[in-house]
Amino acid sequence: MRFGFGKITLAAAVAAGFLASTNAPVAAQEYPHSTVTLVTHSSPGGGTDVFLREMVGFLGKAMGPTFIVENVKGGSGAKAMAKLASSPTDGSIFYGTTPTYINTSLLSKLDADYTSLEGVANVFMDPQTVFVRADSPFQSISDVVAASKANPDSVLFGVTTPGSLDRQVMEKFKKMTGVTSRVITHDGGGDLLISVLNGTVSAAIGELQELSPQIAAGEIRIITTYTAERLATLPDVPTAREQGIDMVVNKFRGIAGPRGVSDEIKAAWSTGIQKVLEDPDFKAWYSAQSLVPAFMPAAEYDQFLNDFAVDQKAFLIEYGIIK
Amino acid sequence: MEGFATAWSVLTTTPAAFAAVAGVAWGIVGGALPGISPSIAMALLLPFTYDMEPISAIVLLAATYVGAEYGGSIPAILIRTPGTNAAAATSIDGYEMHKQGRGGEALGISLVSGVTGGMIGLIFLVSFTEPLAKLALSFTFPAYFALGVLGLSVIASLSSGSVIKGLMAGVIGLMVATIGTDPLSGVGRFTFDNAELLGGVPFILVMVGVFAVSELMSQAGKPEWRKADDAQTRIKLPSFRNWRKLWKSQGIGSGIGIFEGVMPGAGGSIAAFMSYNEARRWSKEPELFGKGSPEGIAAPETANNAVACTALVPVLSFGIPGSNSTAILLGGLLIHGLHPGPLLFQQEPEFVYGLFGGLAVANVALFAIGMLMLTPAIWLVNRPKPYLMACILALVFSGIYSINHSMFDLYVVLASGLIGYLMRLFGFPFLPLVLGLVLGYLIEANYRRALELTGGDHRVFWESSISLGLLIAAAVFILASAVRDAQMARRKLRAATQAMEANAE
Amino acid sequence: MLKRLPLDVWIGLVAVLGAGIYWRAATHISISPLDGVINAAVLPKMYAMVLAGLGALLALRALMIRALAERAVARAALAGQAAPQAIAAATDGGEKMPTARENMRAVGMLALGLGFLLILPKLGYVLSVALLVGAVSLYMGAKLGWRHLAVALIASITFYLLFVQLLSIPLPAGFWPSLMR
Repeated sequence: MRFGFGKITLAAAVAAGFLASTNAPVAAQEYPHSTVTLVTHSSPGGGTDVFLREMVGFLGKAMGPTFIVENVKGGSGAKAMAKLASSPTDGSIFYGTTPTYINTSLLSKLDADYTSLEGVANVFMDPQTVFVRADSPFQSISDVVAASKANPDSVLFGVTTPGSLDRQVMEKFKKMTGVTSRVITHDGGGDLLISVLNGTVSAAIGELQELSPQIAAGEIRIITTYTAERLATLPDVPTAREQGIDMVVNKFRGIAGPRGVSDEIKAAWSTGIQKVLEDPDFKAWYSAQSLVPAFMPAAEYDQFLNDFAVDQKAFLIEYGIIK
Repeated sequence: MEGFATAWSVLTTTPAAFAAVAGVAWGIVGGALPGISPSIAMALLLPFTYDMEPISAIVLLAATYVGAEYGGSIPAILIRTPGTNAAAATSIDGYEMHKQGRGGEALGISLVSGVTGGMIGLIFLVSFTEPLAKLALSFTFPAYFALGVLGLSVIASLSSGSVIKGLMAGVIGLMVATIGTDPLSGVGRFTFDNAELLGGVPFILVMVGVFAVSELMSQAGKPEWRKADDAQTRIKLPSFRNWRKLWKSQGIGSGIGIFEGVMPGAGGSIAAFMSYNEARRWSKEPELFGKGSPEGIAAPETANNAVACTALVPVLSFGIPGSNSTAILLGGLLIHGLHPGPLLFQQEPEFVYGLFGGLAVANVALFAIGMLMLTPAIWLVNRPKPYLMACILALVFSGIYSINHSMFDLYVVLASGLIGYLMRLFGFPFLPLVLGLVLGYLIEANYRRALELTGGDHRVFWESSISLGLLIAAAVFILASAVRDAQMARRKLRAATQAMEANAE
Repeated sequence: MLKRLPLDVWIGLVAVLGAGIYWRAATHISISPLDGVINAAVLPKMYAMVLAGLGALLALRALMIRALAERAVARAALAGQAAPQAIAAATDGGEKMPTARENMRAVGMLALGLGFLLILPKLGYVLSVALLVGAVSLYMGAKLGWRHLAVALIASITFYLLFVQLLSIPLPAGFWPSLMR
């Protein structure tokens, strides 16, 4: 009995491995490397990290090489950008983009900043949401604003790292609504979640993707989304816009490489990402996570990133954060 | 009981037990290579797990973590180079024992302690997942700050004369910890526009420099090693009598390890150093610490293996990894479509109990494989000294390069080596420097965040009962050691004056 | 022994100087509007003050011990006795200091390491490790010969297989790839 089962599963594993290895060489001819590193500055378990780790399994199938996710933490992306800037442009190493790396480039003086990188393909737009602990009295962001106006000390906001997009969303939100409550930064999305769960902060900004197990378990609630329309997966949750706060925030998630990646490699990524987005298993995953697929090819994505940087810079100057 | 049955059936019907053994073996090798951290060892395996069934894949990764946490102690003891961050504390007394020709005994203690810590950690993981998860949630910013202060408070209890130098070394450690991106505002501090410094100075670089490189420098000047033939060339497990002497430090190690494993903000190296501190504080022979105390190995080694088990608590119950290693594990879970969180235990009991079973196998395997692997390790360090030292230097450089693939890091290690040598020369203790460095971020970030909660009101630190308790403990320890120091100084002075007067007459 | 300033006075002064430099660098930390109640420069400045205080304390303490010792020596001399050796030794902490030669040899080891870092990016990993192992083992007293060369060669190949092949760490290749082209 015991050995029988063990052998069958082992045989299955071997067979699966064999299949994978016979498929690999065919695809590998299309891609010049057997191992490709995807760098993220996200601390492990953070949004980008989870997304990349989820995607690499499917990417491997679609493109051939083995993808490895590497966390190059530090400097809110500065270290990761420095690594990318000094890496070969032969298609062996890429960067999982989020708005953070552009903000970091704008907030500090760096040798290697976002201009050292170029967009290769966008994958998702990731809606930002406001969440609270399940037993919180707040039902919408308007409740939070009202409570904070009545007594600024009664509300504490939580955001992830200092250079993150949510940090700036929070400043913009405070400016638009005139709220003055304090904002607490964390080391990453995981720590922020703990702060909400133990009641340290009253409301926080996060991405559905990281929050879904807690939402399913009824530990936390989403009270508002920063989207243009209500989300299909959360039809009862109002948008900020509905409540008179005209902000739509999309955290983009894509792939960038050191500037100078060849057109062939870019094309390989373009087909690869499109293939991955069509994969039914991956589709099932990302729909459940409320990630909105938003593929952009290299040229378009690079332009998009530059536009984003220009907008952000204007914002930072307007808010007196940089000169 | 149902859990045991589930675990048994999973272990007997899947190759999970085999994965546990393979993972431990790989983990020990990876952990024993300086620079190859548990997380790198796990990440290297990740691609091989894609085609495995989920339970085997996760057991393989978790077992690698267990093996690597132990493996790090081997080079820490034999060549004073911690293989992993968490083994840094072990190098203090482990290497001293090795220098005295008791390397085999030190390795035996480390192995037994690692297995003990792993088993106790596992028992807590299995039986108290929920209360431990609650404990993780109960720690807020003031409590983390107080935990850091308690860790630092040991500096004050450093023995005689060098208290001022100890404090200076501690402050320098804290200063080095401020290098990098500010945790609250995101501005760079002391980075001199150097991107390499934005992420701060990794603690392992300073550790390896201060301990291993300065040791090589010192050896170059004055060979202190015993000849290979009169040193122990075999691993020696502690006898029952000696093992009983270690129960207290192992208890301290497992307690702190269990506790800090579940805290997302703490982690293995802080647990190892804090249990080293506490073991020394509560030891009957604190004066042996730093001079080859078996307890100084038992405590941190029990702690870091206990951490390897209880660190799974926040991963499984919240989906929040507390360290790089558990994050890789989380990645493995997600790749196999398992979404850890409060519902995992209800939805996938087979998986959870199978994982627990696999960890039990891993801890048993750790003992057996550890015994097997130590013989070649001991053989290697008993090669002629010139060659050994040359290879250690090459190994240190190769391993450190592996962490960030950075040449800059190698220069940092070399500079730390020089600093370590100067510290030796001028009688500065290493431990406070390392403590300041390990705890600096924890203390500063949480101090400032805690005050942010109240808008600058320091009462926050005594309004939380956990933080109050930890701070009182720290204050008591500092006072106690100050009193003891003063008594000792007075006694010394009296003896000196008497001697002088006797001379003068 | 008693003529020179005690070593700890110098160490204390260096610490005060270091704390001053660190303080100066801390004043250049930019204070962002995103900063909280306690800004990014507060703790560093605190650390600098503590270090300077400790440095001064160390220097003062050393001077005080010196003064006490000198008085004792003077008293002993008055009584017509040679200064007790123990008192002189006690003023410098009683630590046995390495000789100048030992320090030079230690610096030599550091220099070999530095040399390795300088050649590593140019000569590549395998050759650099072979040179490092060869040079350090010679420095530590190995005899030049077949055995020595074999160890250097085997070590570098083993390291290469372990780190580059097994663990796929991209250690610097040096000029070798350009030869292949």
